[in-house]
Amino acid sequence: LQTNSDTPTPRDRDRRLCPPWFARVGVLAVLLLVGAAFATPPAVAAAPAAGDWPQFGRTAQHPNTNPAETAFTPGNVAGLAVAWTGQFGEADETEAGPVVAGGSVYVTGFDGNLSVFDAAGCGKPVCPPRWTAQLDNAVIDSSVAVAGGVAYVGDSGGRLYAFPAAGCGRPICQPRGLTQLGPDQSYQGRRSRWPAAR
Amino acid sequence: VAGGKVMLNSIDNTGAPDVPAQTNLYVLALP
Repeated sequence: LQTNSDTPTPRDRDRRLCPPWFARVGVLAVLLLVGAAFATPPAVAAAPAAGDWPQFGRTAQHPNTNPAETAFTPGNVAGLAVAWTGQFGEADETEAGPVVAGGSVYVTGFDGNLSVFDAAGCGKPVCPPRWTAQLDNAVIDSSVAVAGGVAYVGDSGGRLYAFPAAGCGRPICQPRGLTQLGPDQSYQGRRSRWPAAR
Repeated sequence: VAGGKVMLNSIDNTGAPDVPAQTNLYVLALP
C-alpha cells in the first residue's frame, strides 16, 4: 500500500500554520530579547529630599519610614508638643495622611478640599491654609503625591487632578490638568458634578 | 515625619451637639 505523501493532509496544514510549542516559545523568547534590547530603561523616580514625605508611605515603594529623620528617639519622643495646628474642614472627615514637599503640607478631606499649609507654620498657634482647591464636589480619601513640582490628587469620582505644587499665587487654585481614570463612585451620598460642571 | 516634625490629621469632635466636628492638621515638634 502506498500513500500519497505529496498531498498535504489537514493535520499537515495545521502544523505549518501552528508550529510546535517549543518553536513558538523560541520565537517568543527572541522577540522578548529583541524588545528588551531596544526598550527604554524604566524611569527611576528620584529619591525624596531629606525633609520631604511627598506621598503616601514616603516613596513609591511605601516604606513608611524616613531614614533621614534622626531627631526622634525613644528617650525624647514623649516631649513632642504641638507646634501649630491648621483647621481644614468643618462637619467633615479626613483619612488620608498629610504629605510634605518643598516646605508645604498637603492634606485632603471628604469635603473635596485640598488644603496646603506652610510646613513652617505662620507664627501663630492656628494657621490658615496658604491655598486650597475644591475638587469637583467629590470625596478625597487618598493622600496627595508631589513630584517634579506638580501635586497630584485623586478623588472618588475616578479623576486625577494636577496642581502646581507651589500653588497659583491666589488663595483658591484651579487644577491645571485632570483625567478621568475610572468610574464615578458615589460615596456617602456625595455625587460628583462631573461632567456636567465642565 | 519630615523636617523634624510629626504631622497628622484628625477629626475632632467638639463635644457640643450644635458645633460640628472639625478636621485639623497637627504639627508636633520637640521643644
